Amino acid sequence: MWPFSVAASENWEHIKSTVLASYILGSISVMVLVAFLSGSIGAITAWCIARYNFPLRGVLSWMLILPFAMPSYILAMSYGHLLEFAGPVQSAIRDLFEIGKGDYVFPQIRSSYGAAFILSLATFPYVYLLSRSAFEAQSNEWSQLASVFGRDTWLNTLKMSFGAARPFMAIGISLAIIEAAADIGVTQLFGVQTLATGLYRQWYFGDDPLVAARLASILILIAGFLLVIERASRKRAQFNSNIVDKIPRQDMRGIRAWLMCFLITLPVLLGFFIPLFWTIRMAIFNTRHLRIERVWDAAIDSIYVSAIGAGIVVLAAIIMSSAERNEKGIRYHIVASLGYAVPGLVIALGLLIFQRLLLEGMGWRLVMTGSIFGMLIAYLVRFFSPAYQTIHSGFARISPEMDMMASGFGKSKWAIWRQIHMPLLRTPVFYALLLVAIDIFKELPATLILRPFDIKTLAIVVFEFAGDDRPAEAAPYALILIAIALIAVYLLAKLNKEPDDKFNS
Amino acid sequence: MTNLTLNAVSHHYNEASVENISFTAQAGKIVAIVGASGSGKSTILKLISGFLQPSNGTISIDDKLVGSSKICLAPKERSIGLVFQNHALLPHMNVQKNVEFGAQDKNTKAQVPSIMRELRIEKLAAKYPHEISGGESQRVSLARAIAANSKIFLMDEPFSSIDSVFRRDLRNDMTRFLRKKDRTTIIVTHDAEEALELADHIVVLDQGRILQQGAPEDIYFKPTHMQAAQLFGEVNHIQDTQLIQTLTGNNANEVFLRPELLRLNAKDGIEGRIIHIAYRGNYSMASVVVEHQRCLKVKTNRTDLSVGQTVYLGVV
Repeated sequence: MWPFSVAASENWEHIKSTVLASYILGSISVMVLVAFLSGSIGAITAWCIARYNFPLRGVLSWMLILPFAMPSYILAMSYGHLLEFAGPVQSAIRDLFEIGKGDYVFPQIRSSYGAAFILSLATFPYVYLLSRSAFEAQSNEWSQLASVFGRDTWLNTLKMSFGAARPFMAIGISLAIIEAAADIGVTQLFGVQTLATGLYRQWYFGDDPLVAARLASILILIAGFLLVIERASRKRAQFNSNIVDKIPRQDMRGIRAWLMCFLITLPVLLGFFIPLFWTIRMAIFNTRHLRIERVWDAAIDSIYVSAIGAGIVVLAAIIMSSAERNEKGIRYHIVASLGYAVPGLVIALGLLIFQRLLLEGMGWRLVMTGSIFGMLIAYLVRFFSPAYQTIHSGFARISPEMDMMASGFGKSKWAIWRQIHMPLLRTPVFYALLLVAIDIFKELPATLILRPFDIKTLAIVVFEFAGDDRPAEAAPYALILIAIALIAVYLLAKLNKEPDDKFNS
Repeated sequence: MTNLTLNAVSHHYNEASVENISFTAQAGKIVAIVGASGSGKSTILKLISGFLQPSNGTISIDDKLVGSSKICLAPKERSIGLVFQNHALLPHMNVQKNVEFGAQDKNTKAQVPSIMRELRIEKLAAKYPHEISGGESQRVSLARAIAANSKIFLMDEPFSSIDSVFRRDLRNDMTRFLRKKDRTTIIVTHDAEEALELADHIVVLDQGRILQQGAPEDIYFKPTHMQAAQLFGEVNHIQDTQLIQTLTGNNANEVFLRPELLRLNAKDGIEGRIIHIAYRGNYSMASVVVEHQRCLKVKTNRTDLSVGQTVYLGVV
């Protein structure tokens, strides 16, 4: 907490007396609302998919992860336009009921509630995926035991299942909270004051690293506090992967089945299809704004940055996991994994402060922003954890006896790595590459702050146009971004659905 | 042909500890290490193969010191072939490649087809591990170890994951093969029948210490500890000197008598009464109460016995 150990500047005093309270309040209210909303949507959809058969269940079970392909700032741009006073929804209401301004109450989308709603639509798949795995891993023996004891009421079953799945929901919710804490896309577009937007403004307008550092510290403190709660709640959590007797899904019939289908379709529509159709419509009806070569350049920049970033992050994860495999007891990753809990914005500003206070003093100017070097460091810090977890679980599937057998035959560690580990890690490595690439592809704050002048990714172009209230011009870029992200999400879902059982050792 | 000698080997690490382990695996012979779960069997294998270092004592292969508290030769320098319970076959390689993985050079690689033929896996060459059975996997695993030209084979519960129907066949094939190749072999098992059938020498472990070691017949018929005796089946532990004297004519304080060493006579012997008969298929186990309410178990093929019947016990 060094920023608070030095004397406060005039800037800080000004911020403290004017906007600091609203920053903190804004951040907390968005985070709490996102936790509640994305937790509810994710857990309910997961419960229905895991426990019931209803029309379109199979399609909806994978469609629920589609919002992963929809960056939150595109959602914000779509709904900001759709739900504003002059937008199609309110216009239709006024036309339909023949009423005018002030004759009706309509929720204001450009508010902290609206921002929380948008961020929840973008983040509920985290909770959905983890909760669904937890529900599906529950044994039928529980419900059989409950029925033997006469405790098999609907409420008891619900309490038992949700109680057991709670730690995994908590992981998903904490990921949603971290995204909400770090967000500048939605909050900035909706004009909501949070610590993240405050930090962004400091970088954009201000020139006081101390103020940025102090705001970042408060943000980390709040996110860290929420993370500690999450860790504590899942301390003893374990998936039981050897369930033989899974709980069979119940068949829903009649109106209840269609109601459930509608309920599960709603988040898919709101989180993916409605903004997608809006984006397509905007792109089609505004082709006069389209500059194909610019879209192409931005797409190339995005792919270039994502590919290099994902490559470096996954390479680091492979090196660290391999070191841990060979030298038992090494636990570097614990420190390295903490980066996932730190908002990208904070990492980016931290690197800028590091450049300004240390590197520039040594004569090394523009180390972080003159090339993609700074971006790559930020990605490494931010996305190391998911890459590491994927590779590490891939290593865990290779039995240690294989290493022992090969060592006994005189194979060197390098030969074991090359001939056994790498061939068997192909699927996890590909999965990790996709996972990180899609994250970087959509990533906004760190890319925005650390990018060199010649790099302009699709995410940045969309954010800049949306910020200037030019959604029509943003739409083609957004559409390309969604399309590429969708391919990656599809591949991820496919890999997730069909684990390489042949190589499951 | 290679001798393996462990001399007063100890290793202390959390719960996986072994203490003062000494035995010799003679060249070309099979040694079985038998014990319950957690007795330290696998720790001994890891010490021999070089994945663990002894805290005390020495491990030698022929006359070469390979492990002590000061020296720990890497596994690759010990010429050891490992065969595991889960086979540890490489799932991305077919059977042929898996066997060749063990071969170090062109000469040994050239022997792979004949090794595969001898182990009856030549028709599986193009198949992948997920396409063959557990027994076939274990044959491949053994073939790989043979192809590596390892001097010493270490087998960790090699048959325990195989269906009982195929286990006996596989066991016979493997033993015949190992003896033919004159390989020094250490087999870790919790299956007493397996140890008795395969081994030339048995080491009985309990809580990291050797309880008893010797030839299979000695371990079975002359156990020195109750735990060692029980590992190999039912036993009558008699501590009554008068009863021992009457039954065996010995003056010992205690004896371990297997049920098949007792006989039910028509007249001669110690009088007793049958209190229970357990039918076991090709024989029955009769529980007989003799003087001082002591109960002895007797293995018998007689079918004319009934509970409550008076019988006379003697030693075969």
